[in-house]
Amino acid sequence: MSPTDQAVLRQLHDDHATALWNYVVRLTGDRATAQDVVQETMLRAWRGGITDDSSTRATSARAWLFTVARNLVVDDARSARRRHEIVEDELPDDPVGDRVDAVFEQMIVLDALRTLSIHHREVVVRAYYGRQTVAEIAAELDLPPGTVKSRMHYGLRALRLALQERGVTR
Amino acid sequence: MSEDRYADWDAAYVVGALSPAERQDFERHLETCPACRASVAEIAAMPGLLGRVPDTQAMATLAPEVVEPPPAELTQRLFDTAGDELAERRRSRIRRRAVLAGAGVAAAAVIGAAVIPRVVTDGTPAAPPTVAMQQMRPSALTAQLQLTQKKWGTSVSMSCRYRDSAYAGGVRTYALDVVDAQGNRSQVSTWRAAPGDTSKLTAATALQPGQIKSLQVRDVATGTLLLTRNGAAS
Repeated sequence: MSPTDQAVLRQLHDDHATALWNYVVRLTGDRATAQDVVQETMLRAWRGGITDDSSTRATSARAWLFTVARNLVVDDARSARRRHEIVEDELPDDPVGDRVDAVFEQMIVLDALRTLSIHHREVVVRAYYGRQTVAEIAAELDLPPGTVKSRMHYGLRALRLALQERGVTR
Repeated sequence: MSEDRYADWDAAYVVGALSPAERQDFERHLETCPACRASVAEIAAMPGLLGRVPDTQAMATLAPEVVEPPPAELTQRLFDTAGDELAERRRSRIRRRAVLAGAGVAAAAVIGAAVIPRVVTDGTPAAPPTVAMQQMRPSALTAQLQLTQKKWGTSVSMSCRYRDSAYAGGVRTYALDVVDAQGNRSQVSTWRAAPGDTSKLTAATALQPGQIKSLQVRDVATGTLLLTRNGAAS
């Protein structure tokens, strides 16, 4: 029993730990937190018998791990926000709570942005954050301006979908 | 409508990437095209949400991603925790079997350690020293222990402080385990603590101080070992 169980965890670890670790580090920006989240996520997968072979699961182990990890991070951000709300109840406006909110939303939007394909992401990021025009992006990426507009069109829709899945927008 | 050359201009428009001439052009078109107006409305909230992310962080998503291996410490902890859980599962199977076989007395000696009220000294000449538990991994918990030898075993007094931290995650349940020289683990106490709490508790084990290899605090929900202190049998 135990050698099998150990082997299952070893397999999960070897297949997914590096991807999961990099994902959670980018999500939280904090290695200590990321260690806790990755360990907890891997243990839950192991206890729940989540493997890539399991035909009863519709999604792959990788998708399962990423979803559980993201939920752990989000739950913790939410409970941090609640704690601040309780502590700072008497203050008319709540700078700490606002900051937690801002950090939380920043994290979710950045995570959603990373789910876009590179073709979609590069035109959206260059236009919005780099303040480049369609013509400038088209010249730099050696694409027709019509293609740049079209990629932005699909890119923002993909972003909207990713944010809807994360409960940020309707 | 199907030949609408403006059909995919919506995104470039809302992020401000059209040239002034194109923008005027598109705005004139919007006045007469409900479909394009609807498209713009669909994604109108996106610039505000993108604005939550600082420019430098967003631009960094275009750089090739650096992939690093997970820290060795993480891997070590993961397999240690899993190993502890497996050992615990095996032991509880053995205990269940022992109880079913009628050897309830022996099992009770292992499990039956319980939280008891503060122990009155058994004529011990001097109070035993208080020692701090060591962190097995970074956490918001710190604890001090005091072990007192009794005729029936050992009384364990513990003062456990849960420091507030930005990433503590609310009220959690902890357990104190005693591990004997053979590596058998038995839980002697559980308690709940929230950030800022100091919990004082007294637990008891039938083991003599000389038979205790270590005392360990773990998070009950995750099984993660947080604090440890070696005993005389280590």
